[in-house]
Amino acid sequence: MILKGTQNVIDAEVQFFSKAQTRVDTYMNYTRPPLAIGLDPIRMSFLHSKDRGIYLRYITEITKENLSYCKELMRIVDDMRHLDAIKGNFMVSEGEYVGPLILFEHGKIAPQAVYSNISEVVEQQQYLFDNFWNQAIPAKERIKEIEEGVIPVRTRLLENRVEIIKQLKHLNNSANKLSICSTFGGMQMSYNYLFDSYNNLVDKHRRADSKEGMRWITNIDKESLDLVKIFLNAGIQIRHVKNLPPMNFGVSDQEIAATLEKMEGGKMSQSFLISNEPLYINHFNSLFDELWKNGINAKDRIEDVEQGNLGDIEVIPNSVRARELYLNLVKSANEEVLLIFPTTNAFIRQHKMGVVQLAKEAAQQRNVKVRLLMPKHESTEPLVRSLTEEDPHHYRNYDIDVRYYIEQTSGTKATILVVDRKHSLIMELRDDSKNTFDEAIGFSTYSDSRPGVLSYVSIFENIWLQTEMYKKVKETERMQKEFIDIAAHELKTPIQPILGLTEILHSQIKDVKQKELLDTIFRNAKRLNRLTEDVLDLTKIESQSLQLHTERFNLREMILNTIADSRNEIKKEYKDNIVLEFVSKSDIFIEADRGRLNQVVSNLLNNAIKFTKEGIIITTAEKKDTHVVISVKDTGTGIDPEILPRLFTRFATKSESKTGTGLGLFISKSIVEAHSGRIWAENNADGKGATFSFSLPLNN
Amino acid sequence: MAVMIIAKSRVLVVDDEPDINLTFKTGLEANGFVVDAFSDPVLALSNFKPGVYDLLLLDVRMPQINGFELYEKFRKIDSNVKACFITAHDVYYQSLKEIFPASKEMLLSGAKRVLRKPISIHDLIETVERFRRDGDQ
Repeated sequence: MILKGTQNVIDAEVQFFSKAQTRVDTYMNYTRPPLAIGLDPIRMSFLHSKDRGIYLRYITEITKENLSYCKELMRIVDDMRHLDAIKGNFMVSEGEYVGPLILFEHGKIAPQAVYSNISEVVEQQQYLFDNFWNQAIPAKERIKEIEEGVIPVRTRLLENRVEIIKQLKHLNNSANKLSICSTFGGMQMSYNYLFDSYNNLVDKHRRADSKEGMRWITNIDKESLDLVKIFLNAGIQIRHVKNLPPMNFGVSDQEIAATLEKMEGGKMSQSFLISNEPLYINHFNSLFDELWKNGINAKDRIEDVEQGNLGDIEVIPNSVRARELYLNLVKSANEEVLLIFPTTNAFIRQHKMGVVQLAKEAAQQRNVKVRLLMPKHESTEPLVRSLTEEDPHHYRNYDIDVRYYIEQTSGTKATILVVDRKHSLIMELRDDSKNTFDEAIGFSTYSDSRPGVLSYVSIFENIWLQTEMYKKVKETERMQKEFIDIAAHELKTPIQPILGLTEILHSQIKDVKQKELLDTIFRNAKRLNRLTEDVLDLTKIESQSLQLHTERFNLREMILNTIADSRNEIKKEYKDNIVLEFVSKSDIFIEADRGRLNQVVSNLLNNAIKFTKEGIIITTAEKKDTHVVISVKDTGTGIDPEILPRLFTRFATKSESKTGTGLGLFISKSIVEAHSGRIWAENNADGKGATFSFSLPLNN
Repeated sequence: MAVMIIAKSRVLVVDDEPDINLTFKTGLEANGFVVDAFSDPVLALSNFKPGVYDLLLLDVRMPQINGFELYEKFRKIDSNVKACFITAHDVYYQSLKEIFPASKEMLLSGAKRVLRKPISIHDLIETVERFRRDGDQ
């Protein structure tokens, strides 16, 4: 039944009260309490009902304006509660329902009302009231809130769109700092409904009234780029975080609002949890700070997005996951697979796991270019052959190349995979002795960040190139060695007849003058021979192909023989006033190159003889702990101080000095050092002559 | 320089360098050896007869057939023949020394099977004589 006219409405209400037997529940918007008190018939109805012992409940929105009326009303009704944003008006008793027209005009009585005593309608309205009642807060609490400015701690789930927007705006406007973490959808929603409510805080921040101001965390990608720029221009600070928490939230210094909805397309969320519970506020603020700390500055991120430098780097501690990713990446290759195996075992393990087969299939079925780098080992040779060799039954039209690198030079301790120059997976080797991939692998790092992936490509290409250069260097070395060998032969061959025939002629000729001439030829042929040997040795040293042919022998005996040879030389050259002595207490067995050490001793003796006019040249060989020291001490002119610092370098001879290439000591030093020994020289303390010494380790 | 030779020893010299052949031949003959010298190893082989030579003096690096292969072929004809190798190549010198390690007797007498070029006639005569006396086959 619809009642028309204000008087009819008032009458209906008065009648409603008088008919009530046990209870009256009233639900009114904020404009009604003044009427309940100010309009006599209504006020009397309330009072009479109270007198009759009828239980009275009243829900309204208590505001500053209607506060005094509400207080008075509280004294009449048994229980009163407050609810935000009430719109409708109605009252319900145990048998009747009256619903005056919705009206917000102050002091105006509704001109119409709905009346019903149909039990189903009454029941339904009663149910509605009870629901509101449960949501409402005690009037006393609300009054305290208004009078003392105390905001009670409340956590509410808002499900009304208008209410949500109102509350969020309220949160934004009252904030001294505001931190929002949302998806792109949340950002769109904020732009659609709340954007102007951020101005206040941004201004505060600009005036330095708010330290943090307004901060926003979101995932910045191509899609969100434009909106992020709008927010940035509005003075909102933004950082990019890749993995956002599964919840959109905004937290100020006073309140927190959160929703689990994604707000896709910028739609308003159907529900929002709002709380001013300090525990929640603190929790969400610290959650935000943590995300903020690890976030990427929006400007940097925008640059990356715009330049296409989008990359993802992920550390994978779990080897099972690394294995899956590894296999999937090879399976997904469309253009290129680059692989570096750190060890032979790593290759075997990963071959067993199927990676190499997958790479082969990629090459065969999808024309993927596959290149593998690995250490050389005989155990893997058949496998490698099966990959790279021509298949006699099929025309081999796939592209797999395998190269061996020198293990020490690569220094890599991880399997490196690069697919299509877009993805890299680095799997660190933890324990090479293990049989399975899962056990052997430690941390893995996946990346699709362009600069990172390209760095690995360049590492690969460098090692790849190195293997090529290594091959070339080996070839050059081989050729050089061959050349030295041939050169040696060609240089020495003509010396043989000169030396031999001069010697024969010398024995057949009686004429002293002619013998002297032959001596000169002989001496120079020998010098030429010596020079040839020295130059060849120098070439060997410089090409690092000086090889030692070690054997075990008695060093003492060898030196004795060398000295005997030198004595013969002295005799031939008529240097009768030079005496060679040898001091050595016992046999000294050593593992070394006899010929080369003979060369060193003979060189030191020749030098001593060359620079000594007369006197004793003493050679000593002495064991000292783990070394043997051989010294040649002369009583000659001593070492020119000018030459001393570069004595053992190439061509260390003075131009006006006697014969010699200046190579002898350099070669001697190289030979001694090839034996892990040391060579040195000093002028004698008594001022006469010099002592040359070298030490060799005794390896037994 | 002269070493006393009672019975005249017969030596075969094979070196592809004619001048070196001449040198060794002259030097050895001056010291009482009877010498045949060839600068063509194939020719040397075709003229070789068993039981004729006390010692072969073979160059190592030669065209067509190297000294070591030549030695193997000579040995098939004359299993008792002794041979010394003489080379200017460091590589051959070292590897031959490994192939033919000196026996105890050789070490004691200083007999050498592998010689280096250039070598003085004095040293050549001495080592040839020692090896002829104490060297292995």
